[in-house]
Amino acid sequence: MSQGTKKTGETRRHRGSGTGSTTLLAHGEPMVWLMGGGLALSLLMIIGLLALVVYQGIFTFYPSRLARIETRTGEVLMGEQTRTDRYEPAQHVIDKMPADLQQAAIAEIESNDGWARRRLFRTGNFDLTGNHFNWVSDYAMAEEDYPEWAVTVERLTWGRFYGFPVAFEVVHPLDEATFAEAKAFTAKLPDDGSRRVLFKTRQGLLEQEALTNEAMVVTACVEKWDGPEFAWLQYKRYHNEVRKRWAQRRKIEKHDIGRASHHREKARLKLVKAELELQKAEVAGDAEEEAGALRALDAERTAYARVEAEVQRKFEEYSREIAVLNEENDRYRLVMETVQGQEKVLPLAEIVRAYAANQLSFGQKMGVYFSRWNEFLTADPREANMEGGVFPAIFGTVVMTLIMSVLVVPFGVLAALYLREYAKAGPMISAVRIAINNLAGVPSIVFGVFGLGFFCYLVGGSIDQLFFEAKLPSPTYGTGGIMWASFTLALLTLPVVIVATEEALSAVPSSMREGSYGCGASKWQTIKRIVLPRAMPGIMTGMILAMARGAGEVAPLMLVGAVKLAPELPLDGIFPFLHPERSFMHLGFHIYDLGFQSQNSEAAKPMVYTTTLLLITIVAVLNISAILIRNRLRKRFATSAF
Amino acid sequence: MTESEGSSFTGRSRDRKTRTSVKVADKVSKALITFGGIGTIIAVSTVCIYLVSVAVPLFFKAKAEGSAPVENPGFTKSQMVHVIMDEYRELGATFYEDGSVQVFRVETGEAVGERQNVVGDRELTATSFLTDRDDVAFGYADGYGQLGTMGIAIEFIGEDSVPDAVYDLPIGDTMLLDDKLYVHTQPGQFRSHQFRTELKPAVKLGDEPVSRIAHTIGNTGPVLIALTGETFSIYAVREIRNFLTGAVTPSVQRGDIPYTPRTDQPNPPDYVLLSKLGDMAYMAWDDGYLRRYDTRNLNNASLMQEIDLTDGATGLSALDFLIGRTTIISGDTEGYVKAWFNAPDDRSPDGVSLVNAHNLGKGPDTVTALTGASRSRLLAAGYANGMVRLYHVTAHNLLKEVDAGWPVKSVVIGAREDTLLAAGDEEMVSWLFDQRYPAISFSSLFTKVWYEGYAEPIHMWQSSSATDDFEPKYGLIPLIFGTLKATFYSLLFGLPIAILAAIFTSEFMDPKVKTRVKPLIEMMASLPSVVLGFMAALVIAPAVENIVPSVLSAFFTLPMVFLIGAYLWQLLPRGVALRFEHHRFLLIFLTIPIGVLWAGQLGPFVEQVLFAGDMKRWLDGQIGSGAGGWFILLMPLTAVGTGVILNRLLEDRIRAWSRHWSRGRAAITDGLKFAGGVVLWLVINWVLSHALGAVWDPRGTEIHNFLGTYVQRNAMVVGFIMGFAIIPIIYTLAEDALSSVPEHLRSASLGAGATPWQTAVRIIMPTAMSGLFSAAMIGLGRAVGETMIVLMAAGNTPVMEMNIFNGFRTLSANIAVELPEAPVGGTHYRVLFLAALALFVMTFIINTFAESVRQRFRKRAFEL
Repeated sequence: MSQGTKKTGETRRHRGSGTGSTTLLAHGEPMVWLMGGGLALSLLMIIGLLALVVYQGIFTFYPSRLARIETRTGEVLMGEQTRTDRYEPAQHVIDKMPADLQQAAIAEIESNDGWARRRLFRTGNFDLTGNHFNWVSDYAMAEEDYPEWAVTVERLTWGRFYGFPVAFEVVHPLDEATFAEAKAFTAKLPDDGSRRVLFKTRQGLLEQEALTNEAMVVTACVEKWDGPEFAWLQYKRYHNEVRKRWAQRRKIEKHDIGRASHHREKARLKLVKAELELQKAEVAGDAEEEAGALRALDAERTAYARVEAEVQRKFEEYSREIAVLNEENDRYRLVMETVQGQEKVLPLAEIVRAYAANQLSFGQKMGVYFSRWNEFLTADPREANMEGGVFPAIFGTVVMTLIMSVLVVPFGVLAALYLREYAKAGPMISAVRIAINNLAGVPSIVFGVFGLGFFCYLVGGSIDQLFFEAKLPSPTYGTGGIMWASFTLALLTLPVVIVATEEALSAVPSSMREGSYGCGASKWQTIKRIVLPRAMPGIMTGMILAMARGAGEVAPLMLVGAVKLAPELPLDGIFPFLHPERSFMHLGFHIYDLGFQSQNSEAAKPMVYTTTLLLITIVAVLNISAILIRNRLRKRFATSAF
Repeated sequence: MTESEGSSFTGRSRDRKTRTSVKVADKVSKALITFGGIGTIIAVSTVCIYLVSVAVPLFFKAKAEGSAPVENPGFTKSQMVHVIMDEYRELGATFYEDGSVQVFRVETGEAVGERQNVVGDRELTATSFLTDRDDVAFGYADGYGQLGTMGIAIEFIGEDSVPDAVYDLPIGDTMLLDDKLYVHTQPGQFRSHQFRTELKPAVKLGDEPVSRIAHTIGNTGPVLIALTGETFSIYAVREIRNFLTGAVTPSVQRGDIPYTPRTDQPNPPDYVLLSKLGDMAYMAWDDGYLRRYDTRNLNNASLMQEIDLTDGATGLSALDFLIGRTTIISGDTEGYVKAWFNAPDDRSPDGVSLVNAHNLGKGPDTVTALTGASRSRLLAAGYANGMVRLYHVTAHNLLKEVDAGWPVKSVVIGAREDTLLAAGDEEMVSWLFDQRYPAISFSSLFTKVWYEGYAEPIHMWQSSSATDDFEPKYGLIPLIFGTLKATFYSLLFGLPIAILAAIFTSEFMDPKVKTRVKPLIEMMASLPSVVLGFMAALVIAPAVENIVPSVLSAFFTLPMVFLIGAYLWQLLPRGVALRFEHHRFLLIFLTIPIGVLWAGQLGPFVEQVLFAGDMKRWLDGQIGSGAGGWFILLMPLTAVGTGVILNRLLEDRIRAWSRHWSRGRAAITDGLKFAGGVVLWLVINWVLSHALGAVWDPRGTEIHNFLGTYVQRNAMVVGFIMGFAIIPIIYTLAEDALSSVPEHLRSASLGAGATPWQTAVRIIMPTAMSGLFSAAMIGLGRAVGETMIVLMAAGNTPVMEMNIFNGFRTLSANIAVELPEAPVGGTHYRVLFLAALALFVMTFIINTFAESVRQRFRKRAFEL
């Protein structure tokens, strides 16, 4: 108060002394502009960052054209342009160039103050060339075109393949058929006139005309479509069914075999447990107990042998099924040729998606685009997380955040209720309040350290000792897992919920409480019927803000259970359905891992951007819904207020 | 209210009772909420308690418990020279001067078998033992030398292959059977201990008796030095294995080490030592005089250094190697224990010189026995008065002192570093000890420590390495420095922007726009930091790398365009200015691209003028002088300085003159003043930077060098992005503080004729100062603990350089990187917990301080 008046007085004195009749200088315009500049810069940075993420995230999946580049040194490349860059070519590099290239380089550099432009092409074909990307300087380029039949192939392994379809083959295995039988067989195949039929014999692949010897043994006949158009047509025809078989195979591998081995593991653990019992009895030296333990062990042994036999039988059955599917899939092959003229046979099952990049109409491009988004959101990652989807990460993030909120909200509300409604106000309680407020500012990594030490090693280790002795030394709960991660984040976000709830509780006017007491309601009735409903918007906001914070937090998760690749989801169809001890994937950790730990960060960039976009969207949606819910509930209670 | 009896003040008695269910519900809910509430609060405080409980044991002293002293079993008239013990504290053996060995049970001292002679008929004159291996070397009176092994062999055997007599041994019991000790460890598993010695054929080393011998097992095979008469020679033994027959044929290469007896002391040296790789030989006399020989080249071994280990005053009474056989430990008659190693030294002919790196202090009496441990830098010293001390060398930690009760002749630390055995002339005693965390003390964590092989004591963090005898270095200072560096640079960038933006929002912005702008900035706060880290590391760092001069220019051009814009704005006629007042912010927004473009243009020019045309090379220190760097560094300081001086000198005068001027004329004068000020500023800056550059080059790798070699992931990038991360929190809190200044103060000021600017600077800001301060503090707390951004964008090298273009490692990033790999409960693990605790305490103190300042401010603001 006193300070304020003093300053005002000072201003008045200035005026009184007669110096201030001009107001221009008193407006402090330059400083105001500087302040405005600060705000403008922060806004620009946010907008710029969001725009960059959104732009990169949205357009990453849009199929781009395939350029065929011929350089002045005679190299030929084909790939998708990913970005352009300006650089200063080193003199010693220029010195070593062939004459015409050197001329072009010098000309470009001179016209650009020592700088040259270059473009980065994703040229793929890692299995043939050993690299994913190639830089092409503008001066080194002799020719650039967009071949009609350039095809982008996304494969299960080795990254993308760029090339031209040459032929399509369907193999029909024949079991030691004679020439006549083979001929009869091919006659039955539908023929649209565009294919040749070849016969696989001991002499190699022969045309039909070459099959003159009636006694010749044919092991397979091959339908072959030559030329890009026909090959492409056949690819489209067969690809879907092959992929379906592939998906079926994956399902058997992941689901059925997983279930069987889980079954066996359970039996094995029982066996180990019985062995441990026996050992304990031996140490204790009680003969009767020892005999009992021995009997139990024998029973477990026979049970295990039975399970083992059954699982073995199942395994054999599954591998037979898989073999059948594989054999069927192996019959379809796309023969491609790279731009350098190398031929590559791609089994159809290996191809995730392929499109003739330079022929696509806008609608088709959008088709590819959405199919990629679909894969991104629903499929498992492949190729060291650099391709495929992030479904396990989305799933992990969501499950973890849900468990966390289930934990944090009741306790946060209880603590806030206690602090606001039950505890006697005093220095102790205000100290607790300040401490809780400050806990929100404690670095998240500290909570991670606590989570690792306390939850994983201390609590989890004890649980393992007590209940999962048979599995030791490999830990069950004694290591990072989704439950411990949720606990840690619950602790981390507890202050957020407590503070928000407290604020909401204190915003309920005391007149309402008093009115309730006046009507004879007990304290609990007042809280339940009057206070809590009014405080609900605040509590909801607190919860959602906690979820947003939890979903975006990565540092503590690195310590308590987020992993690069989790083989199994924390929630699945095997009893008890929720597996809180499993480690999990997390979107934020995925970004860190891809951007920072991956071998080829350039190739990982598109995935990082899309994952970032996804994470930001989730966090933003949570935040915005917090605001919306708050507003809606506020409105509802505004009408019913006293 | 729920009283069932008695009457109320109205005089009427109550005729209704509260239902029991309501009462019960009330009680239950009260109990539940109180229990849950207090429980939750306690759970939260567990965080701190648990961190303390893990970190504090680091500072606990070692524990030791002793067995009863036992009479030395094989004692006869000949003197004991060495004691060995197995790692399980079961069997031990004493080795005597005459070449005989007595095996005994460590626990009871009971003799095992007869005393046996292991060296044969030769007269033993010199011995050499290693603390971390079983290899031994003997020298004889007839000039022969012999290599071999001597130790307790341990075997693990299953129950199928133990002798029948042992089979029924209860678990945990031991049994002696023909010199072999059996232990039943677990059901079905046994362990046997047996003394075993194996000597290779003796080799003739010279004609005269071998008076001193030392050996080591180098990379290519055993290396031996021996003093025979007055010849001091080195032998490298290479064992060539025949692949067909498996027979080993040794080939010996011999070299002479120049040795001249001392004139003042005719005796041969009392101690001869050979370093682990066999590249350095030492001889020392009882008076402390030591000679160091370089034996890297067998044919050209030469004397490198002469040094007195005891300052000439006292006598040397014990000398041995520490683990790794590079550091020498010495004990003298006054009781001092010192550690010496070869530190890099340019003046020495071989580039190193032996220095006294650690003085562990004075003991109670003459040091009579000294030994190093086989796994860490632990040493045990025995004294003439019977005390035995356990030291950690690097940490200067006296871990434990125990009393044997009689003069100690020999000490040995068990291979697991949990047993200590001391032997006197007639007795011996062993202790079980728990060394806890010997490498940790306050000084080893927070002060400079002289690590083996370094030229001087340094702060260093290096927790793991590939080699075995590596010593982990737990200096927390580089990490704390990194944390502070990150915080400093991010506040340097983020704080001014956030505060300026908050003042603008609160005081000069259209309320309608404000309601849209504020949530946008607040949304920035919920941006996951991993996203910012990824941006910093993969987008900004590579982009900035190529345009450093332009980025530096932007720090000049952006404020400049705002100011120029303001002076141009002033030139507008009053009517126009008023009409566009609402769009001023948009204009400010639009000047940014101009500033950016200007920075792009200015970059190459700046590089040419200040950095001799090539910034990267300039930063490496190859070209140019330090003035250019100072020019950049001093700019903000001189800008503020010039501004303040000009204002003091001119402001009032211009005001007085401009009283009767038109608005246009005043604006032009103000603009000219600004232009003149800028020129003056640049000139002052130029002069100052050249003056400073002449005496102090800002480039380099020292802590006081602000510039240096450019690394892609550096403090500037981190400062930029982390500044960006803390802007929202500072902005929100600061804006809240400014907005909560009561409206009537503002109205009063404006009503009294003050302009908004005057109101903001003279009324609002002073009132809200404590709120602004606490906003800055909370921002600081955020920056201290931020993990993902620094983890991804700071390069994570724990260097201590102030260089803005180099990386660093913070406490938080260090925890994130190292904790998953640290063995649970070990020293490293606990040190990381200590780091977490430090972070916790640091941020907690900063936040509490800020919070209490804020509370006080809010209280006061409401009182106004």
